[in-house]
Amino acid sequence: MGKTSKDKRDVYYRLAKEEGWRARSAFKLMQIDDEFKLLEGVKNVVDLCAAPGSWSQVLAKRLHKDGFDNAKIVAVDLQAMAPLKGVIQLQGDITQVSTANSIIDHFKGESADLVVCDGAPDVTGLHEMDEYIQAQLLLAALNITTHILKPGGAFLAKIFRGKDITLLYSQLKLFFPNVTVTKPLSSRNSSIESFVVCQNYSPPSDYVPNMSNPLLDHKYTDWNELTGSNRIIVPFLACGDLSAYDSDTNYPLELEGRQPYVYRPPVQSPISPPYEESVHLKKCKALGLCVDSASSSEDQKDSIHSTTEEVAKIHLDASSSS
Amino acid sequence: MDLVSVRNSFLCTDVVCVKCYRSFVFAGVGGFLKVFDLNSNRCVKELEIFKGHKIYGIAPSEDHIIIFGSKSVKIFLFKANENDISLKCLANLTLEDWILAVHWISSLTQIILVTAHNVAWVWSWKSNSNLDLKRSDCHEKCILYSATICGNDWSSCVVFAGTVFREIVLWLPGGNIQGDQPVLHRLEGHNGVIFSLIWDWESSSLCSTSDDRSIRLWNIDLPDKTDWKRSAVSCSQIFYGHSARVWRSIIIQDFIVSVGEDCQVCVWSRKGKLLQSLERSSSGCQWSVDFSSEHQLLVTGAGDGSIQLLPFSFHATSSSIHQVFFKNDLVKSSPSKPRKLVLLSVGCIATVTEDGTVLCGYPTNPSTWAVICKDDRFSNYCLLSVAPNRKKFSLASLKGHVLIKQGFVTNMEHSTLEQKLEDGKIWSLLWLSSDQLLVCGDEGRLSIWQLPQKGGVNLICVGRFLLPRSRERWPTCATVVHRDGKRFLLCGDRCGSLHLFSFQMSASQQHLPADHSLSKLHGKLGSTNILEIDHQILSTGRDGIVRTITIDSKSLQMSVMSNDKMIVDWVCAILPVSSISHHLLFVGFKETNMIVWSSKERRTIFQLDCGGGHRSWDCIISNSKKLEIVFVREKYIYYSSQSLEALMKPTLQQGISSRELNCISVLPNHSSSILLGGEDGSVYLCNFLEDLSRLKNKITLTSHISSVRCVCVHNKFFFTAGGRAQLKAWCVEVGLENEILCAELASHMLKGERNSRSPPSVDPEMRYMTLITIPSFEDDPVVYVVSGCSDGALRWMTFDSTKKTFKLFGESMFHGKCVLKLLTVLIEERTFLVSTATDGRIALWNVGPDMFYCSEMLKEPVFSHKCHQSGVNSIQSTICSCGEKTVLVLASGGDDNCVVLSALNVGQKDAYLIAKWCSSSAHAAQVTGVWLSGQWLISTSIDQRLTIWSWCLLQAQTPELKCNFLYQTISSVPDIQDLQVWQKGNLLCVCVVGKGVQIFTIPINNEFQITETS
Repeated sequence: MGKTSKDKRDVYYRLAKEEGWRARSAFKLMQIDDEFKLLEGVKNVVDLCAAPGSWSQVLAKRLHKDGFDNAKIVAVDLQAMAPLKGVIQLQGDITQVSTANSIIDHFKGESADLVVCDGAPDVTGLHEMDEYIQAQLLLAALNITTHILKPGGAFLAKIFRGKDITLLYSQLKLFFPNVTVTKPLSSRNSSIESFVVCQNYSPPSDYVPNMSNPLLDHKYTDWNELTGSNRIIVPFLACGDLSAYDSDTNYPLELEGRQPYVYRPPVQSPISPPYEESVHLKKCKALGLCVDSASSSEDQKDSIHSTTEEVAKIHLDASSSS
Repeated sequence: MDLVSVRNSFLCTDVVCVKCYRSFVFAGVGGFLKVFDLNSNRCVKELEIFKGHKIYGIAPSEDHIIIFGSKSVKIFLFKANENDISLKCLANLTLEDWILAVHWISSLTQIILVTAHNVAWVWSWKSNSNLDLKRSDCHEKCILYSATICGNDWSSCVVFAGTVFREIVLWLPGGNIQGDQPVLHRLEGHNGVIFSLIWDWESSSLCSTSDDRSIRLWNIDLPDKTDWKRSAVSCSQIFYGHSARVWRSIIIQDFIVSVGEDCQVCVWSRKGKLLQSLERSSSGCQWSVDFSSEHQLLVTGAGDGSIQLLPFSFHATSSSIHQVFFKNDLVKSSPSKPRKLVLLSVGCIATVTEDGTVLCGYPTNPSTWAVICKDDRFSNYCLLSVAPNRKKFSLASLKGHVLIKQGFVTNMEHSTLEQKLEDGKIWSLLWLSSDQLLVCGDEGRLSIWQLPQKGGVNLICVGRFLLPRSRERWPTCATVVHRDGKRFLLCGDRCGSLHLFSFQMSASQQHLPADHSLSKLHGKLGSTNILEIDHQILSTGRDGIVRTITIDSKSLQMSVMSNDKMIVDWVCAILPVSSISHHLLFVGFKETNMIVWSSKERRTIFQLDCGGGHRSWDCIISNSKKLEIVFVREKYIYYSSQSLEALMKPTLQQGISSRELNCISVLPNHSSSILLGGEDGSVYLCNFLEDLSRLKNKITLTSHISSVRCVCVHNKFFFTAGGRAQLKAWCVEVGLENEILCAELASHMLKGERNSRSPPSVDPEMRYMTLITIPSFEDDPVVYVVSGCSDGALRWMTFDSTKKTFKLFGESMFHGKCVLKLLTVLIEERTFLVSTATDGRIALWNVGPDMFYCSEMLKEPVFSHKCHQSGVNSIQSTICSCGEKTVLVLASGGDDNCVVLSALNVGQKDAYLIAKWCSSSAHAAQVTGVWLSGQWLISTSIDQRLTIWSWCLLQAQTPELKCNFLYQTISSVPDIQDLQVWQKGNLLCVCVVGKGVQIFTIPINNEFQITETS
């Protein structure tokens, strides 16, 4: 694939690089905010599963336009994230009470007005399972949210609109009277990704936030909930105004009314992906050979370098020796 | 009581679990369990276990089977009689969390389950009282991707849990500590999510597979079989070999078999050596694997829905390559090394050495080797070629001499013919039949020589031709074909071109020129083989594509019918497995490996490291159905012989596409055949049995360079288009045995063909999203095609079926946003086009053949309205009358979850909306398919529901659209992208495609009324 191929295919990918956003998802938050005005009057906001930090970038840009005192932004992720001006970073697990407590500490005892979460698991390709894991991630985010969100506050999270999404809706409806599904123009048509905007946080009167047990989504109690008219379906609202770019449309590299096109490298490339070692071994043509588990990864790399000439021989041996 | 009876007729989707049990294979296909008998390789039972979710695991023990998936688990009693298989559900349970593992304990009276938040449950399923379920929580509460359980009872059993945080935690659910149970061991090392865990008691080891593409074997040192608290764990081996995520593994004695996203099935030694890797690239992701110890076979379930048996035979193939030795005195007397070789039908090898010695002998018997002649004329330069019947071979020299050795009927006994056929160098020597040779001399002079009858001595020239000028002017392959009483020579050359020559009545002295050439058909690296099988001419080359060629005997023209991309770039030989079945083996090279690929299984059945394609080699299928390969490597001869039966095992269930399918069309006049376009760039023509219950066969058309997003059928033609602005025209023909054949007629890329030097006027990354043809008469040679494109344009083109060319006439940027669907509709003998886009608008255009000459018609639609908030993914229409007027009713499904009906009054120059109906609550996700007819509306969505409605247009002062929800069912196909509905006898067939294919049937009566069931 050519260097500019991806730029041609996806206008938001290119715009994100041009405008310095860490990921194209920044546009999704901006378009949702334009529609729902979620950031209006917000003083304390939490960005869960924040890495690589594009939503925090948007929060900082919009909330701090009149100075840093206007709002506090706390970004939480398991992984470390490159620093962002005006964003308090917290490396922690969202399933731990200690994380909730340190968020509250940063707000000086106040609760959050808004919690956002753009986290998603690595998809396996088994849609049912991916949707379930995504739902669990959202429920973990909701669980910590019940500890830190003030009544009347809002919660925004990514969902996968799939087969069992109605089960998640019915769970969210217990905590928020207003639940809307939205899909910004910058999110591709027919992609399973959407966002839930949950407003006016009002937990059940007897609800006590509890981190020791995870929240689970509901299950179908009868056939009529699986198929039929009893399913809980929340209203849908598309967002992003019509003049905005459409993520499915191909646009020429030279966009009308913008600076001439120049290729830009990605703002942030992936940090140590799981397959790093495997790719390294492939480069050394050492895939399929015995790896000594006792030696450390660094030693392996050295020993593999020295044996590359022997590899061809070993291959022949492998097939000819009995 | 349902108003509508909807039956599942056919389903093909990811096979997430397979399990061998006695001589059966159990497979989970969506929510259905399929049972195959390994003695007959047939499906003997099919049963719907779960509605609405998949089967993820099967655990048989004695006569009982646990089947689980998602949050549900069921226990069955399994009985297999001679004629019947029965499965009786004894108990079922639904938990509130995802089930990852089940395990039988306490002599089958209890089962243990592990769920995704690291909770273990013990269920005494036989107990008569209310639900007897006990839970135990682990201190570690993160989400799991995998788990496994071992032990014989609750108090001593162990849970291994693979977490999202790259760890495997080991804990005892039956521990007697109050509250959460502590973690006993944390196994660290994987650098990604753990996808599967498997425990082997015999070796006391655990095998894990991960996102980091590795498999790890953990050794657990247990002082005593139940005392886990004193156990010690160490990682004994790491296996790297997969080039993508590894989904599952199994332990078979000293071996580990793993399957992954890279389509590979790998067999490893415990020491970490990759012993064998079987690729199943056309079947996609390998989700599941199991081993039948009874039949010594591997079974895999794949992403394309296939269930395949594979040999577990590396015991036999590990010694697959033998060096061929000569007896000692022969080595002394003739020290020269072999340079070229061929295999003869009697099983012996004939080889020519560097000094022109011809040796013959049997590969495994050194004492049989003997010199059959020594001729200095064939030292330094020698061509060696074997006749198709492999009873003769010939040598050619630098000075034009040809030596023919024939005989070799039962042993190495033979006779010799010799003649000087050229004055100078012979550039190429090819056998056309068992008694005809094609010889190429200088400057492309070709001559065909007939071998003498018995007793004769001279070869007679029967034809002379002249190969067209090229850089390397000699043929690399040739064959003679007969068409309509005429004889033709087909010849592929070193520059990849294919030439057609027709034979004259008598041999002329003149070298006749080619009648037709397909220049550089196989790219600059050359053609490699051409062969006629079952009236089909196949041509291969070093571009990795197998092409089917046809000859028009009247116009003396060749044309390419189809292109099939191979997994190797260098394809060099075609071996028919038998003359009757359509099963071919293709031999090719990839890096240093020789690859043998089966057309029936569409996978590599054998590969060996021979050093690469630049060497002398030969490969045949012997009479005893063995694949025999010989090659020269570093001046020695190597030999390999494999039983085809051991290499190829039956397919239990055929798959369709390894990736998502984007579109479906039904062939007119073939109501059991569908056309599918896939994300993998293939077009599939699937022929089903008459009752649509099983896939009969599948033709895979692989010539698109990017994904196929739309298929449009027009009389006997069909058009496909998709990514990289590529559009193709095809023709459907019915073959001699009534089978359906496809021919590629034309391929078009909007920026102009590849390699053209002019700058592209259209973005080459543009995707065709949708295609429609304007109805025309069957005999009209010109087809009018309208396309909707991702750059926001509607493009109008014609396809001339006689010239086989596309021509672009005009475009409209009305939508300006990605166009999604097109439709044509006939209203009072006028044709209208309906278009939809991601802007949520539906537009109506006045069209007809005259628009191709009057570009003004194309600028603006006669009507448009914003019907949806965002993309309109599907559209269908019908005509009904309202009073005296004809009304157009459109059904549309959008990305905003809505199904909309709109009734339009269409006038001469305009149209207006008279009624509208909308439902936003039928589907919970994007609506990706609608169908509308008579009084029925069918809709489907990414939420996998299929909804049936009845609708009508009430004729009041202000007309009103009414629509009632009738029925909803759930499909097993995720990510549904398209819906097609057609009538077949008294059945309404509903087919949804996405990550799989599912066909539902609904009984209807003659008046096209859906039969109501009481």
